[in-house]
Amino acid sequence: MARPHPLPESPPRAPWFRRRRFLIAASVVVLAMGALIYVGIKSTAMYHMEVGELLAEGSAVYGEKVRLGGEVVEGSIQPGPDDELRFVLTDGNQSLPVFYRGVVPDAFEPGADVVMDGALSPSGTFEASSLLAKCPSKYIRAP
Amino acid sequence: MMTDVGYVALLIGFVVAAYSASASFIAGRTGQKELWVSARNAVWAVLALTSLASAAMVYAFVSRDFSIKYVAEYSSRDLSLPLTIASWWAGQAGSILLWAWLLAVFTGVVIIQNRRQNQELAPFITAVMMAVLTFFLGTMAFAANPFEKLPTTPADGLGLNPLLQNEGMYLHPTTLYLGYVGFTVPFAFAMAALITGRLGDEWIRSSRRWTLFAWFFLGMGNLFGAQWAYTVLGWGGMWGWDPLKNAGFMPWLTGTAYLHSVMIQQRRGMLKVWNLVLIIITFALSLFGTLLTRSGLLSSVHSFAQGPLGVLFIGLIIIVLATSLRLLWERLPQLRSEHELDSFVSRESSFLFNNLLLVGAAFAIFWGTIFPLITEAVRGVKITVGPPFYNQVAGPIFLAMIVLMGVCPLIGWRKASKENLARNFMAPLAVSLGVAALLYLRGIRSPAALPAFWALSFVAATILLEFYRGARARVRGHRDGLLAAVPRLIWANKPRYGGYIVHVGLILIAMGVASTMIYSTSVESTLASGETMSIRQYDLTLTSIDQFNTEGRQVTAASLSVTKNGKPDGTIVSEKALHENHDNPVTSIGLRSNLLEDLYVILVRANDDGTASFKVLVNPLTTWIWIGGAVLLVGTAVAFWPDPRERERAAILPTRKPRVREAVHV
Repeated sequence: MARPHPLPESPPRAPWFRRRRFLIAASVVVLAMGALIYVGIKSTAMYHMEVGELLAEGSAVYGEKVRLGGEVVEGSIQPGPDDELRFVLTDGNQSLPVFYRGVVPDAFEPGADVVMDGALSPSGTFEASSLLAKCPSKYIRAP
Repeated sequence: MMTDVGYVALLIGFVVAAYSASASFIAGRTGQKELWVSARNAVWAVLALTSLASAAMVYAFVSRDFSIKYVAEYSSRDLSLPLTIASWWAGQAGSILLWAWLLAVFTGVVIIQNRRQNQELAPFITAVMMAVLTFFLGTMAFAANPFEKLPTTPADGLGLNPLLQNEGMYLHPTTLYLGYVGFTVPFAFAMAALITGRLGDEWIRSSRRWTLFAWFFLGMGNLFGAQWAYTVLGWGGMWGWDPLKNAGFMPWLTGTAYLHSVMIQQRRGMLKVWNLVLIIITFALSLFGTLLTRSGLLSSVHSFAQGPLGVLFIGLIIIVLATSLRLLWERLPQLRSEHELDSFVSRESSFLFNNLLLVGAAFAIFWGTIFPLITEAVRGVKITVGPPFYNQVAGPIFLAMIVLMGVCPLIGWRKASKENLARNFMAPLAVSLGVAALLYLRGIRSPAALPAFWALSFVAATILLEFYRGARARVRGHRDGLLAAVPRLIWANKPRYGGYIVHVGLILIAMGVASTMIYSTSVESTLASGETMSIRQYDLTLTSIDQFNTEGRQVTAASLSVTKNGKPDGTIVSEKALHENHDNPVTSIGLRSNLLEDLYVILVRANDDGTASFKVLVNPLTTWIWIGGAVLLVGTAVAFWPDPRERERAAILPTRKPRVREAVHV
């Protein structure tokens, strides 16, 4: 509308080097995105462990950031002052005390499956910096 | 009784759909008219049967028939009528039923639309859609029966998860499914084109509205999902990059790439193979999204292997990819480009880069989503990536995409001249640099924010320039007033200006997302009654904590009086409700929005000593995300509206003469 300009007929097939600049630029873009993904994974990836796996690593992972999944042991939840929270996490066989400070999601409850980011401290407590409770995809009422 | 009706309808539907798929395929191959008529009638029968099954499902919910496992698991007597009906798609089996029913409806509409056109394609389109439907009906008939009965009928159901008991339940899953299922249609058109060898752009033209439809609803599904998370889940954010969110986002990205690259094929006869690959990937990702939503695939490889559904869906995706790519491979010789890329600085080239970025972003998200599965399979340890990965990777890609959003519609075809570049980009560049400088002086200096806002104002300026030029030309030609010219301009070329309006919506959404992500502030504090906490220009004082019972919920409500810049500004209430029969409390946030910022109050906990803990956020420009969504709706509607040019174009197209008029379709 604003700029009507007719298209002339295309010339016969262009030799490949006419497209060279485009191919180079496209490769640069693809490589740049690949590099972004590579660096992103390198700098943000975390081990995702269950309680038993973490305990098996023991002192080898003190202070190292990991993601820990497990189930909240019934009756172990102790709220403290200033939004502090202590509870015990289990994978069914082994268990581990957890310390967390911050907003507790609604789905957090005894028996809930939770995922936490944090690190194992030499005292044997898992110090969580974030806490996610899995939304139960199938809602089963407690008896 | 109704349950038996529902299940039998699904069983018969499965058989009839399988018949319809094979009959239409054979009719397409052999040209037997009567067989084609019979295959079409079978489609109507399948539509009637799936509608009957859906009606039986709704009836079972409404009549509180807890002998059905699905009804007992997802509803209870105290649930309101609308939510009871919406429980239809609260779980796995019901969602698959909804998928199947929508697909049957879409197939019916496609048949009506193509009564007199696309005679060669229609049987194969029907065959593909019915084949997909056969899979879904078979899944329900043999693996995930929504009408499965319980051995004993409980007195009441388990009830719907309280987190699902709100408006989001009506909007988010339904729009997402309309999008997922909608992409079946352009995929079926593409397959029909490959099978018949009618590889011109008639299949693209005929399925354009369906693509737009699916793309729009998928986008809305994502947006409603974000809004749901923001207002209901109550963690202060809206997009956690969890697998389910990613599942809906990936096909939207590749679908966007497809919407754009088909313009190049229609205009220049290039990128034919690429377009087919894109629509195949988009459809496969839609299936993958359905799979992710409805199975435990990503929690662990092991839990996933326990259910039959995951295996069935993976099987379907593999069959879809293998069949369609094989067809594509066989047709490769007929899919040669009619033109070559002439210049690096051209519209074709800029569209290619836009495609590259969109697909790259989808790939990055896909890689991040399945990374734990890959490391678990290869190295035996699960390594996950979280939101920082996605933000770090997607941020720069989206920034480049926004810049290209300004460049693509204005750069010249084939080889952009220096004059073309100067005429179209000098002013927007100057304006946007001015905006960036102004923001810098006002103290907005974050290395993430400044480029983002520069890019957004650049795109906004290019669009404004386009509207201004178009309107000015109309003023000269038609003697309209400048303001009156704008709506007429839009109406005169709906696909193109609808596209621009969609771009405006996306700019607003990007603006809201960028400022919320970069400039959100939050404070956590525990207050006794009468104590005050401060955030930015707000002071919040706890005035009361009330506890009361209402409609089966035990509510704790904290009221805070707000002062803004020292002046009283009303009160804000944040609640935590414990539903009868449910263990999890549901937070209902206190939210005050205006065009500049959101004040967002989460009641974290009411303590026994009368104090309460709060997390308060101030999110700048967040409302513009939802406003952008509304603009997206308007733009899509304009682009969707029938345009006289379409007929004109269709009349010219078969001869494939280069067309004079320049047009941007959405």
